[in-house]
Amino acid sequence: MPRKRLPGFRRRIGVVFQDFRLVHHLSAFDNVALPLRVAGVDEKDLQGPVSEMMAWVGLGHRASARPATLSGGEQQRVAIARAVIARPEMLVADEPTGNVDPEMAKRLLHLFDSLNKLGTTVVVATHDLHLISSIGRSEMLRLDRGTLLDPTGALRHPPRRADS
Amino acid sequence: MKGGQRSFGAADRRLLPEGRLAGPMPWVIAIMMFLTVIAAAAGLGLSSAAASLGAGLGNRVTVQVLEPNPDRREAEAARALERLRRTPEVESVRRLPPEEMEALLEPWLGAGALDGDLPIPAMIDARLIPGARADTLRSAVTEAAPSARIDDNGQWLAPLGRLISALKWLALGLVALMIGATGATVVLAARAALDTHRSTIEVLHLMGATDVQVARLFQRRIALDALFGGAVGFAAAALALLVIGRRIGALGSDLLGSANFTGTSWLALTALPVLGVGLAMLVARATILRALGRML
Repeated sequence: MPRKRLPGFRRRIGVVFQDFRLVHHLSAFDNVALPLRVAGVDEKDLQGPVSEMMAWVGLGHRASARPATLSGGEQQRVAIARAVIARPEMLVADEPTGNVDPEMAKRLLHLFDSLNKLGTTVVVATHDLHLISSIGRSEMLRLDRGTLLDPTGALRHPPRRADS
Repeated sequence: MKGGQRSFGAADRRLLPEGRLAGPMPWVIAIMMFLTVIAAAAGLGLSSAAASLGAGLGNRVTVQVLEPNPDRREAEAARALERLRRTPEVESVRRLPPEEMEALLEPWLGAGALDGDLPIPAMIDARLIPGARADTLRSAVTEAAPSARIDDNGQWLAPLGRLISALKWLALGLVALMIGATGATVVLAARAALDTHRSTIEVLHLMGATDVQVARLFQRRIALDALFGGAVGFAAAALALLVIGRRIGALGSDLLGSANFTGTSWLALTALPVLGVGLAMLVARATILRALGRML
């Protein structure tokens, strides 16, 4: 892809990194607002959606906190809020629920599910098969050292053994 | 929602940490600007001196009628004056009046030098048309006044003129070197800033920021640093020039005094910090865009 087209392409993809990649000198609010500011949304138009998203991930009261003062789980939620705030066409999340409690993990997966129903393709990399299984419509694929082992989604519906 | 080449708006200032003046760059630019303004002022002053030297004395000749007999001296002086008036290469000519002669001689001979028996030559001051040479007058004047001696001011001023011209070019060369050094400083500062903020830039890129958007952040920061440095350097240089100007004025030297500053000279010097900011912005932008082009 030509380099000139990369920015436009990247704006269509939301990414949750395993190491969060938050901008440390920005507040949680400013981190979440970053994709909208990059896209040129006016300040007055982004205050509402960002505040709403912060509240949705349970961080409305920590909007002005710097990432360094947030716990691992809180940082992860900021990273997720940042990835989804611009309603991307595709969301790629690397271990998005690794640092949050089970209740918040369910809320986040529900958010991913809602985005998916609105048309966003959600790709989640995780070791927590049980959690992913709770979303009925999801496809589950196994990667082993960079190789896709079961491209047909057999992980969710393993074939019956002949002797069983 | 337009994105594209837009800036990040009001949030610009927050996207890069550290306040202005955090690094040495503004102070380095201040020093560079100080030296640039002083060198440019020297160049402009020397140009002015060279011009006034050429206009004031360079195209003039002084005719001295040395005849000791006062009556013959007066007759020769009158003939030389008449001959010079009829010469096309001469723009204007006048005989120095006794008061002026007395004032000229007073430092050496005291008051009333013309009243004594001392034979004082008659002096004629002639201004030539531009490009005319004093040699062409020599034969005509000596024919009219055999005891006349012609001093070509341009001839003895020529080495001084050449020295002033060389110094002027040296000063302009220094200005060019300073501009180059300032550009190099900005390149280094821009590269250092990119290295410092690499992680932030990577995040901005991943969010879909264009190179131009990212470059604007640094460009703005560097422009502010250059503006501060330029203003401080210019203010210090202007102060130094005013002090030096006063000192030269107190000396009462016509030659040094001829290196004066006109309003245009000051305007040219004032343009230097503005040009400095523009140069810093352009260099920073080019450096950053080039570096970003090598990043993913």
